[in-house]
Amino acid sequence: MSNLNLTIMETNELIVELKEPNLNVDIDIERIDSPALQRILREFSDPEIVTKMYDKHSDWGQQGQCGCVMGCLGG
Amino acid sequence: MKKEPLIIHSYIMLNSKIINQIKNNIGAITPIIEPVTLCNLSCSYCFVGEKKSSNMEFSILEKIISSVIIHNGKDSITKFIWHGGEPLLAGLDFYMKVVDFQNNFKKDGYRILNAIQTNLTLLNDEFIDFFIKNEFGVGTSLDGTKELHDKNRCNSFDKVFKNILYAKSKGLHVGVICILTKETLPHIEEIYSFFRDNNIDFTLSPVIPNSRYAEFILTTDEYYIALKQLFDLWYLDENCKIRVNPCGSIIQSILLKGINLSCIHSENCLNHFLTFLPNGDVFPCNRFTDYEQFKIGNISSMTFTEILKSEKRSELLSRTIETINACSKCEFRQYCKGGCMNHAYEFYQTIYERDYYCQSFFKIFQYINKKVNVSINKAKCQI
Repeated sequence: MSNLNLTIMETNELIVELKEPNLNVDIDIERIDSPALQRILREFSDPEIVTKMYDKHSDWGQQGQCGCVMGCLGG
Repeated sequence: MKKEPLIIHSYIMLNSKIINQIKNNIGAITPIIEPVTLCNLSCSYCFVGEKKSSNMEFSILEKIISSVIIHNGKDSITKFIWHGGEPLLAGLDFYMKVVDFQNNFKKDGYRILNAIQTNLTLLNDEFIDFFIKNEFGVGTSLDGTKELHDKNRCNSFDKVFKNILYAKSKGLHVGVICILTKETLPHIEEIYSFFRDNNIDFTLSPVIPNSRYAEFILTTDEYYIALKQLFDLWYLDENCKIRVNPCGSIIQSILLKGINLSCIHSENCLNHFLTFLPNGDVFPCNRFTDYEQFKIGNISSMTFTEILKSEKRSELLSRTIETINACSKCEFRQYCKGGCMNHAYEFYQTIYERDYYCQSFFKIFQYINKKVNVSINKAKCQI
């Protein structure tokens, strides 16, 4: 079993401790029954996609606040 | 034979990447700038009240850009969000000036991004080329099919839809916010199929619970049922290639153990956002610009540090999940963080309350969490 021991992330708002695995099971991505969940997990698995998503108008992280990404301020 | 632990292995890379970037962005401010408050449309449920015709002066623009970039520093990515009113009414020259100002910092190693939220009716080739060249993210509002959209958005469907497709054909990605109201509630399947079939990423957002257009506001149960229906349509759809939020962002939040993906689920959005009006007035978010009591200051007469340290900002920053009684025992507080301060204020007339849509979020987090866990358990590797 792989184990994640991630650093403690301190933000202005709160301290998030990511000491435990996000997903503490080994899974076979091909057996995921949802195509949508499969796509999200594959995106997690590809550093190039992650970089593009985060750095270029991503829907990752606390940024990303218009329709181009998350769309929270629309009206 | 044990299969490759694809997911676990890749998560290590993902987390270190995201955490490093988020760490670098601690304390960084994302300015939401309204170059104009005027709009060429007058949608039924627009949250912007009074729309004045004045444009932002370049001296104010320059001060905002330089103050924010210097405050954020070289390790963060400073993201400028251009909003309105209709921001394209400011004209291409305005944005060329923006990029000129920003380039002075880029050449010194500062990292800068831009995103614009526009109704797209004024989009032309010059704007498209400019946005592509300068890597602007573009968002618009489209409420699904022509019939649904035109009813409350000044018959603008044909122009907006045509411009989305045209922008895409030229290589400019456009994301869409679709506002859900009492009227559009019975049409979730139609809305989903429309965006899927036209290959357009979209976010389904509930109408802001503002009493000016009470007839459009959803009950919390209605919003939950709509989200559940949308999730079910999307989750098992083999033919869907688009991003559908908030369904996707809730899954991501679950997988990232609550790292927030949206301003409404950050503990206090004021840690990251400030809105600037054409006259330099500063507000926490452009949903509050109609409320003088939420004004934080004015960039023309104050330094950026004075704005950040102002009494009003400190007061508003005191809203955290710890100050909201209703959230104290919620199992999803880590993901939700009390929701949107404006949604709370519009309904309860205080920011120290939970989001008006709290019960919808609670139920949909519960539903999606369960679904994702079932999917993952079915896919566990056999040892």
